[in-house]
Amino acid sequence: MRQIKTKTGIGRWLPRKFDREKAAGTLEFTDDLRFGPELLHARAVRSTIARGRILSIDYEDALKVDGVIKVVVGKDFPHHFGLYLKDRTPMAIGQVRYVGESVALVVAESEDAAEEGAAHVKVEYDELEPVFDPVKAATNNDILVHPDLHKYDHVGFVTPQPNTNIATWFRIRRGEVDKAFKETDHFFEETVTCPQIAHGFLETHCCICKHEKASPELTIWTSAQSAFTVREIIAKGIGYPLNSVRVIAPPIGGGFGGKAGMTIEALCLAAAMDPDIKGRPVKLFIPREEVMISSWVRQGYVARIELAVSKEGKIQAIRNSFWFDTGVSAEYGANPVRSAGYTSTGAYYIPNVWTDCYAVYTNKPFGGAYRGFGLPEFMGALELVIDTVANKLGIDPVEFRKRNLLKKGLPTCTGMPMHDHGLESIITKVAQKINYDQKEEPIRPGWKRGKGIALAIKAPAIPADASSSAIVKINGDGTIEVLAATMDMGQGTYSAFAQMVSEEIGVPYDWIKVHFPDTKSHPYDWQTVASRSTWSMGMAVKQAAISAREQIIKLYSEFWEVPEDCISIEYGSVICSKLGKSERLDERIQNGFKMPDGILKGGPIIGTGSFTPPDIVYPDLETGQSPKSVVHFTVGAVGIDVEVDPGTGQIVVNNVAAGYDVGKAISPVGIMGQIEGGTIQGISACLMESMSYDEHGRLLTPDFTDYKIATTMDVPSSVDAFWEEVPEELSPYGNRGVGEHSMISPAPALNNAVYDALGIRIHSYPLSRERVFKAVRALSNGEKDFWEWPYELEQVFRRAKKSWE
Amino acid sequence: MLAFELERPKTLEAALGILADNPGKAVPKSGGTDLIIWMKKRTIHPKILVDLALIKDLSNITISENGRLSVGTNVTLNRLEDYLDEREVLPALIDACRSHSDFTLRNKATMVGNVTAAVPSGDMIPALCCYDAEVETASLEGTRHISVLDFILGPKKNALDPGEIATRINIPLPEVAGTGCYLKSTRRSALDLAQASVACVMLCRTGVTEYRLSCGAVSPIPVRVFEAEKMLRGKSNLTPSLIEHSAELAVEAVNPITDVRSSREYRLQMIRELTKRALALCQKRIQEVA
Repeated sequence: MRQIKTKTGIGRWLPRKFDREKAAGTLEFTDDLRFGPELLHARAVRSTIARGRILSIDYEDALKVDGVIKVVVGKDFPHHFGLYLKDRTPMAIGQVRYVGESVALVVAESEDAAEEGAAHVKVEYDELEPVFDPVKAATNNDILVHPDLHKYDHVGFVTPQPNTNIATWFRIRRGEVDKAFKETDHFFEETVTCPQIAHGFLETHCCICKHEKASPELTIWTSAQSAFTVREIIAKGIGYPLNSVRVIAPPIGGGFGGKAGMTIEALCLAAAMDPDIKGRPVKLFIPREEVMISSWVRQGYVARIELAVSKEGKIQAIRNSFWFDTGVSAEYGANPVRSAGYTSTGAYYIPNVWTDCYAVYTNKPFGGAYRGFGLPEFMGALELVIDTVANKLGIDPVEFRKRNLLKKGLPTCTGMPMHDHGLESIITKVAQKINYDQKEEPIRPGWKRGKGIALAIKAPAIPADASSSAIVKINGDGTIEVLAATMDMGQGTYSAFAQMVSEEIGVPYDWIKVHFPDTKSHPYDWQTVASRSTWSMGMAVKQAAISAREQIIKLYSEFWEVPEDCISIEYGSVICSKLGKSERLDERIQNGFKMPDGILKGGPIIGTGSFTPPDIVYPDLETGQSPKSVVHFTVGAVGIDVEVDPGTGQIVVNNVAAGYDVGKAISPVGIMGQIEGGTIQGISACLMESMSYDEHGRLLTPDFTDYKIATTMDVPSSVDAFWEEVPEELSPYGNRGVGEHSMISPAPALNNAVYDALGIRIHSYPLSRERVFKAVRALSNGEKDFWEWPYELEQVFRRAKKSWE
Repeated sequence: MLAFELERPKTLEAALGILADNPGKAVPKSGGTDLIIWMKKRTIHPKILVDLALIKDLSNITISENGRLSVGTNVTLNRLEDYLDEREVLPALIDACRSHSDFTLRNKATMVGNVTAAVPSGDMIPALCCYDAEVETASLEGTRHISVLDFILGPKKNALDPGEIATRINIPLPEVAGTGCYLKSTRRSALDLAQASVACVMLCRTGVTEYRLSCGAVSPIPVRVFEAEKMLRGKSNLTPSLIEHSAELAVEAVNPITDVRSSREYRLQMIRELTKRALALCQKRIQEVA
């Protein structure tokens, strides 16, 4: 007998948690918290040069500004921090490595005083030649961004190469690649480039740190995706026990990976731990103008992909060289590089694989996590190459993809057998939805129309031991509180958790609350990243809910003197149809049941659950091979129908279809939102997003005046989103993550569509109007390929007529 | 943003008094959509910000008996657009209003502010040049009238003297039938500054069709393409070769730079393309009216 009945369980379309407060503007973000007159404000002084030795920092004048109480510099707080590779100090010590690096921190009684004080700090540098081009940095060691690379602590699966600029080198060596290239009928080599891009979240970074005056106790309120990882990185960095660092993460206004790991917390801490400041809370708010020069960005890349293809159209071998531009730090950026590396045959079966993925240091802001984590980068290149090769071979690109698909049982590039999935049917549906087979006339006179498809694949890029735990508390009125330290940053995980709890305990969704993380009350979770939460934390939440339900049913069984299987929980009431009893969950759940024998039994019911992925084996450092390199993959496809204005280079997306195999849709409204949002973000990145620098390494796009993100006028009015449900084996309900995947393939699909429309292949992202226009002109000169080396553009910029003076 | 004092005078005289009493320290503000951002970026730091918003005399739009439209410095672009749209006048200026930023910003941004900011990409400037608009200024010394073409001296440089405020922009309404348009090249379809822009006005005087062409974002000062205007004068039928030739003359009249928004080369190409499109669009619009 089914013991649970609910109308608000998994798979239901329900209003998302906290949507009402967000719409009303009443949800309190970190910057909204009030600390009273005790609060101090910090402001960073930032490097104005890309590389050089610090000769002096003169802050005498800053201290004269009314309200300024202290200026802290790098050597005052020399701790190294980092998730995978400790190559970062909160402030530059001795030398600066990019324009925007924090050099000093001014602490004042007011935000205005801190800002004014920062303007009065004078820093003298001995300027050194910087390096911005990742290929140059990787292949020529004249300039070392981190001469001390050999001294930095790192985890075992990151492989820094001392005395070079290579922060990690991930390799796949599988099969006989050279032989395959020699013996196979067709050989292709293509290069694709993409600049760094920024997350563009609405809420900029904000953090408040308070160190107890009398004891080593630290509290941090921060706009972070992962409260526990902030705690861990901070505690390790300063040598505190974990229970002396409390991290509170209020709701965040968007993350997209940009608030993963630790961001600005250590910098704020440099002030809060100062002996003169201890005891007072210090707030560090990063204004919009500073976000892009002081936070994670998505790494830029230069990709070279070679393919060997048989005359039957089967890919025999691939050789990948990926230079990721990780900027000044790879503490987090080392891992998307690996993630790309261990997925480096994409969604295809290729028997012979050679991959080199490098994270390369340059004198630019640091690369880190960004929705898709290495795969929008990798697939942004591979899916272009697949399309190009299919076209060159005269095979329909959709057919070519299906012919080489990584089907169930076939090995991935790490040797792990692929699990079952619904990709083939998704590709067919996507093609149908955009009328892929039909050459349609452009809607706009004089424009060119084309269609393109690209596949998506990604596994959660997590350490082998990334764990989750959850607590489900049943209150004395039957309402429920869930403590799961996932950050709901708009992806809707709290709704998914509440639906899981409703599914397992039979109480309505509206009775269930999920709280924002506080490491003091919540049990551990690694991070809210990697599209892992509904899967990994979902396991813990489900387990906790089941444990709570079992306790309830056991108590009622004893109370009513009936077997447990006669009891059900339906819509919030405990029912025994045999006895004709139906009682709402009430205070007995909290205070115990007076049992028939007169003894009070029970007490507050708490369910707990813990989960750790059981069987991941890190890929071998030399060959990249592993029997189980990842927990699972989520796959999907995107189809795009575009039109291009040859007169200006403007692209308009007529239609976009996107489908993913999500295993099981727990919260369909959340999945729909994730597919729509990621698709739009991917289209935006493809059309216009680029962090551009001048020849001195100064960011030319530091704010939204010049860092462009698509508006509603630039994207299609709807996304034709859908999903398949081929269950995942180790999962609460067969569900897989999809939060990042929707961002992976819109860009290559769009690029492929533009190729279809124009007949010229653009090898450089973004497809800005100017670039597309240039490609149209190149086409009229008989060119078939168009690419602009991003770092050469800096040289062009150096020579350009830049002013009227 | 560094600290400043805010003054909100209710009369023009009071505002001028504050400016005169604080030479080099006080800056007038109308919509503030440029000014506040420049202050946040610390490119300017006035000690006193003189908000003109409460001055009623500067908040109206009037049409004089001799057909002169006069727009006060506090008139927002949305208000102006509605006003012009209702009366079906100055179509190039209506286009310019609609192309500026987005709807919410246009609730604050003003035409006078757009011109006084004197940024080469200012969306209002080319259309105003086509319509022979003039800036009216006030100071304790009196008022002045300066044509928009002469008012802008270079990037972020205007002809205002210290202590002087741009109070209105006056535009003689064309006495004859005609049409106009404003086209701009941008990196995205809303909320962007022009990489290059073209305003075109077509006036159908009896017997003689007259054209006016002006380009934005491609020169330190406003540009009228007089050579093309001269060539097109009297041509009611715009043949492809006339259009092509006009585009060529427009390209010759401008001198763009390369910056993060666009290269000089792309700007030149867009001036060519937009000129052609603007002339064709005027031709189409005039036929629709007829």
